[in-house]
Amino acid sequence: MREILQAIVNGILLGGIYSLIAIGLSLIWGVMRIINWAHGAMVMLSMYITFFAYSMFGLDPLIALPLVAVIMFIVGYILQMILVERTLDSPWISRLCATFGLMMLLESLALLFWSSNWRAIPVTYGTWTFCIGGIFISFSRLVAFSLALLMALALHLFLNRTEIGKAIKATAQDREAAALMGINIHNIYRITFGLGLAATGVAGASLMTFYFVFPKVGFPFALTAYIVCVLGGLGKLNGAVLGGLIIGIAQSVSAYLISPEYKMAVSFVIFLAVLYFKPGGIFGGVTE
Amino acid sequence: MQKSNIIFQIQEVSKSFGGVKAVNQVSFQAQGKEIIGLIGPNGAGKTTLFNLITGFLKPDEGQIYFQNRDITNLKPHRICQLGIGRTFQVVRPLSTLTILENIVTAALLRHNNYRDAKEYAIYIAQVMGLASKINKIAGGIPVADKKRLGFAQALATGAKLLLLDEVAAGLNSTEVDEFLNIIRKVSLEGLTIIMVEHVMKAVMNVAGRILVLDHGELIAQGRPEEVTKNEKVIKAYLGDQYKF
Amino acid sequence: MKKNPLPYNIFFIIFSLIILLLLPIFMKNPYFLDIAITVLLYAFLGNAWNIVGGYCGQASLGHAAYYGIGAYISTILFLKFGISPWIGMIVGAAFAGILAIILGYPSLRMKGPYFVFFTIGFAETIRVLFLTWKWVEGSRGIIIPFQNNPVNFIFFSKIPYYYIILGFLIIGMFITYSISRSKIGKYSIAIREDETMAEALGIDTALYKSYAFAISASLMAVGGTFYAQYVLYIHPNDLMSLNNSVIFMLIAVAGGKGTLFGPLIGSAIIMPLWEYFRATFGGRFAGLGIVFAGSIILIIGTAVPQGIMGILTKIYAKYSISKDNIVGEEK
Repeated sequence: MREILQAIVNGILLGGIYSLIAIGLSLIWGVMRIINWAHGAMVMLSMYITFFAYSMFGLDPLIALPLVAVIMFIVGYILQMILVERTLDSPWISRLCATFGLMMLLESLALLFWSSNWRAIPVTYGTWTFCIGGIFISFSRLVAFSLALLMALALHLFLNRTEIGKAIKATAQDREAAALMGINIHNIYRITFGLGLAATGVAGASLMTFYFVFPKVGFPFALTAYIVCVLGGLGKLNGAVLGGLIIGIAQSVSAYLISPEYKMAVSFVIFLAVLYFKPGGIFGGVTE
Repeated sequence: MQKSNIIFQIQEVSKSFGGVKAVNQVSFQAQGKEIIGLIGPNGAGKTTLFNLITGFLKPDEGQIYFQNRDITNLKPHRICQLGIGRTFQVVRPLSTLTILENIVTAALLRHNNYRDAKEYAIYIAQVMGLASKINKIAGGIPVADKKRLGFAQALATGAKLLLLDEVAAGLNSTEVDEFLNIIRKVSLEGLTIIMVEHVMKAVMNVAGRILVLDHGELIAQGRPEEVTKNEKVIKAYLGDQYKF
Repeated sequence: MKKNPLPYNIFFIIFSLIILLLLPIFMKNPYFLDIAITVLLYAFLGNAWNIVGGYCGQASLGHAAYYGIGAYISTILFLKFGISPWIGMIVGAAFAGILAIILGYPSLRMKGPYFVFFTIGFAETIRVLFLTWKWVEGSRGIIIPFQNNPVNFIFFSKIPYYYIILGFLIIGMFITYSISRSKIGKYSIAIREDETMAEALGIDTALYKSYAFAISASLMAVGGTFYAQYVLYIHPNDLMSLNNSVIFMLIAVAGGKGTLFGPLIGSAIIMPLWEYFRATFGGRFAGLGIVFAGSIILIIGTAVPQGIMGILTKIYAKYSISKDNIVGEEK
């Protein structure tokens, strides 16, 4: 019984990070109707940036985190400007190719420059653990989880309380109407993409407090993020949060009950079930 | 004296969207070779009704029969196979194909091999006045031609009942007259037609019977002269800018 | 799909065919022959993808699963039951086709990105399944002992392999050609263009998508068997990877998806370059090949969605404009 509880707790902690990654993806989809196939690669990129912030400047990942988030925002803004923007009116396969190509490019460049060796940061608090009622909670994972939720909250507030945030929501609902109201659509798109990547920045930096990075690390995270988005409903941010937690728990519990290798298979079964019974996701997002 | 041959029946069909009844207990019948006009103010539920008939939407209640067969819950392609064809309010040609290929795709429903389908498609193109343009890419033709194409495709599927959704919209007077002629011709050859229209001149001139829909309900039905004098109908239209 | 006004000049085709048939005579170097075989194999696989992805518009990124399944079925039947890989190939193709229909069923109603997610997840699940399955040697892969004998579909020289894959490619392209002229093909294209309209025209979209999938998956499986018999070593990560699925799509898209010669052109350009990168730079520089592929995908995605055939079509159309108003006449 305790082991299952432990698995659930671990699942929740990891799920928070899934949620954050998924929120970025869901936001980009919700506003621009683009699936960012390079999202996982972006997580990888932010993890490497965090790593080099440590290896070159001795920065602890949690300290580097805000910096990484800002860097990723800028990266997102620029990428949208020079690349993704061009494909907005092209057939969907163009967008698939553009973001997928980006992913391949990033992963292979990472392999080229940084080799396939695993990199990790030996943080001082790496082994700190709390024990509550017999359940062990790792400090780093707890911090990562909290940061993920904080970022999600920040995004929520941003979207609902600020002028730019509301403009983003307006654009997501009806791009032509928003344009008619004087909103600069292209700028909104760039900011949105930047925000989506900033979220991966926070996720990546948080991950570096207890995980390791290598060129293909982003792939399983991306796959899980897609599943989370579908589960919660593409475009629905609170769905992404809930979905992330559910998938985190599902993966953790199934890893314990069956075997770790079947994590993805279990997630995939959930994915299928959602698509079959409730295609709009838990919160019934846009099914198109 | 005409023997009654009811080929289409819709009984107490309703459909709601989030609490709003888009179609409310609508019932009517159609006989072979009839041309029926379906009119009503914007948002009256006309296109929803078409979608219900053609299987793109499932009714919440009620039954729909075609040639004595219950088609209420059938899939769109099945309904088309059984003989109900339609056009869409916003035309949707298969844009990267030529006009001919568009019609051939439709004709393949009744002609299993490509050559026969092509022959038939050329014939239909002639009927619709598209013969000289069959090799033009459907995405780049003017709206009137796209409408002709949609009509041609519905015909080519061998439809016995044709549902036309605002074919006259956006066309000039000559084009509308051309369409009306085709509709009359096609009806004489045995097709039944139900046409949704806002262009009153078009529908009043060609329809034998008019159905009036308002807020999802059938508020009047009868010959064009009767319907135009019907108080309920006039009231429903008051405030709209349609000319009688 | 742009109406292709290229007349598929019959002389040009015959000429190319003759060159392809005589190639091994001029290419004595087994290394170049290997590249040629790779080009033909991937052209074959790209062509298979094209049936469902290009003509029917269902962009599957999970096709590598069928590729792998074909390879495993024929190999297992061969090594554990002594059945000739030729027969195993047919069995694998049939099995893949049926599997595509059964497993494809839930995906028939999925649209856009959901569908792509599904195909990726599906392939990944199958890959992991094979990795952990002891009976098929899972993560160690299977080595096929070199007992060369035509019945075993194993040959000492590369030349027979060349002609076999050339034959497969010709058959595969012929299948694509026949489909494109048939009801299945026209219906698939309609589904690709506008699924709702297709339904309104009486097309059972679920059925025809299934047909396209089944044919596509079967051909993929055949390719898998060929690979197994050529390389004589199979492993889930080599066969069922997302990378492979992407390459199949890339080859078809770069060459021109929905066109007959697209995959061949795409493969002829991409595979030799890929091979060049792979051979020249090993290890971590293997990344370079993928950098290259990634860049191509990027460029094509943003600038030339119609692929090379699209470019050729435009050029040809410019020269034909003088003829008359008719844009594109199908031969």
